[in-house]
Amino acid sequence: MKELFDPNGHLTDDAFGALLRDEPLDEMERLEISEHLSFCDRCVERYAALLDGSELLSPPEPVAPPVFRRIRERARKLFVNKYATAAAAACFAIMFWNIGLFNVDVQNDHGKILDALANGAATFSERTTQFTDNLSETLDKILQSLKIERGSQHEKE
Amino acid sequence: MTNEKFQEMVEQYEKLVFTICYQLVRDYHEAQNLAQDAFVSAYAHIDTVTEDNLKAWLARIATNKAKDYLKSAYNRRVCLSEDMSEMDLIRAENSPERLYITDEGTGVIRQAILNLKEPYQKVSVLFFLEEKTIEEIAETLHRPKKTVQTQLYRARSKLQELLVKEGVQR
Repeated sequence: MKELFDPNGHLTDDAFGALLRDEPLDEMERLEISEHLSFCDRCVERYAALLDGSELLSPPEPVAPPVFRRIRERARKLFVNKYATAAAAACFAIMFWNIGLFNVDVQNDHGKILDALANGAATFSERTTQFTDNLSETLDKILQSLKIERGSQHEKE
Repeated sequence: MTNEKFQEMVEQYEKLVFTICYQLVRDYHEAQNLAQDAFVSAYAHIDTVTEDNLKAWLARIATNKAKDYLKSAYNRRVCLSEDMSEMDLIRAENSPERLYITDEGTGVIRQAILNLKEPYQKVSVLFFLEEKTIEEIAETLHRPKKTVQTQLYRARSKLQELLVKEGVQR
């Protein structure tokens, strides 16, 4: 049986040999080796040095195109999140502006601020409800018309 | 680093990163995915590395990706709640669990710990026999705390198996 670690806990020549020559290593042995390589500078440098041109395998497909696709996708998500947050902040600012929150004397008008906030929130919620109701009504109509069209199409057939 | 330079770097090192992932996970398809993951992670931290260290740095990222993959595959199969999880082990630092081993540690148990192979022997000696904390062990052996916890968890399972084989019961 191969000794994969020396008494100091570093990888042995046998361990590197088994990796490089694709010799049998069970999953636990490979996990132990990868755990060690993930923190040991000495062994990871040695492993990288052992992997020169002749030892290297070609990936089945080029790696660069999917990598760049994923990097672009991640950048797009970050961009959208950033601007969505800014847009939400702007919406709140406009709402607070409309209800006059920025004109209130904070020191003396605690009650007024709370009232204004409560009214503002109520108005906002009313409008949101109205908007979602309208939206679902429109969607219902569209679905209804689609059903009718599909039905009439079926009848024609 | 510009995108063009990064692309050149990917093309230069894709074989290295793929080979490391493959040699550790032994699966072409997973190795391809892990190699992509490695370069995506590298892109996020590319400004922290110098040209001289680039090869070893990419090798480290690739081994980390392979390790995460192998570990999650292992964890999916082994039910950690069966006997003693890594969290239980942390709680056991000052508990009767360790005292039991200390009290009984003059004979078979002590010998079983000393007979463990690396990477489990040193962590087990320091934890079970010398009563060091996980932080102290991590510092002494220059291993991450999480790795020490994992190794102790597995060492304990190995010890249990060994002791059951030798007829030593709790």
